[in-house]
Amino acid sequence: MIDTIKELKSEILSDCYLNSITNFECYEKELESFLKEDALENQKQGISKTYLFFYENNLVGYVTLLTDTLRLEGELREFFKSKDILYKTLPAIKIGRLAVDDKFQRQGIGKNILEYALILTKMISQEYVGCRFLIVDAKRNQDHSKDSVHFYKRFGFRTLKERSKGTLPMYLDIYLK
Amino acid sequence: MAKPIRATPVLRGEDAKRFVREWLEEIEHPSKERVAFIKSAEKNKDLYLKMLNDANDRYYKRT
Repeated sequence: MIDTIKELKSEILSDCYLNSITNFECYEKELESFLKEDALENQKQGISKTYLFFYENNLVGYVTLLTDTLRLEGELREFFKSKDILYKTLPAIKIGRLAVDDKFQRQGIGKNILEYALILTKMISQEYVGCRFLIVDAKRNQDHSKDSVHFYKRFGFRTLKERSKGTLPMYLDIYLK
Repeated sequence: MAKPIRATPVLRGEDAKRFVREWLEEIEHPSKERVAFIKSAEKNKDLYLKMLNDANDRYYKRT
């Protein structure tokens, strides 16, 4: 059992971690193949950035982040004005992918990675460029314990827009009043 | 090749209204889950920032 984030180390994905990535296994094969096949290329193209998390030299999880916007459209000028919403494009950071290796599930690593993404987003917002939300496409799974919609709801994420199948877009306001 | 990262949907009409109502409600009355999560992250903020800074230092030395 990993008790604390003090035992985790993060690294930015680069060629030297290709061996570590080879051993990464996740029940969501899509999350595994993204890391093995696409994450580095996306990063080289400036599309996203992937952070790897290690525990005792084992790759235990990763998160891929990119910039995003939350866009509101339609003939709603009066409605938005009445609610003091002045911008219809709201800045966000998107969690493109987040996964924990199967061997390290249920040890709080997913929560640690999510907190890391939150702190990184708040740091960007407070020191560099405005950003108000974390956005994620949560993967559904019929097994409740593997359903990431349930995982994100536990941390206060809300549904952005209902979708009948596939992933569910969710958001979190990173600021407390 | 895995599936590309999906675009975040544009919110129109009732979806946009619902989002704004829920967001404003959340600002005024934040959920206990969101408060707990943000406070938990803030409690360890220095550790996370050190992890991030160290990772950045090593990355820029490598590249």
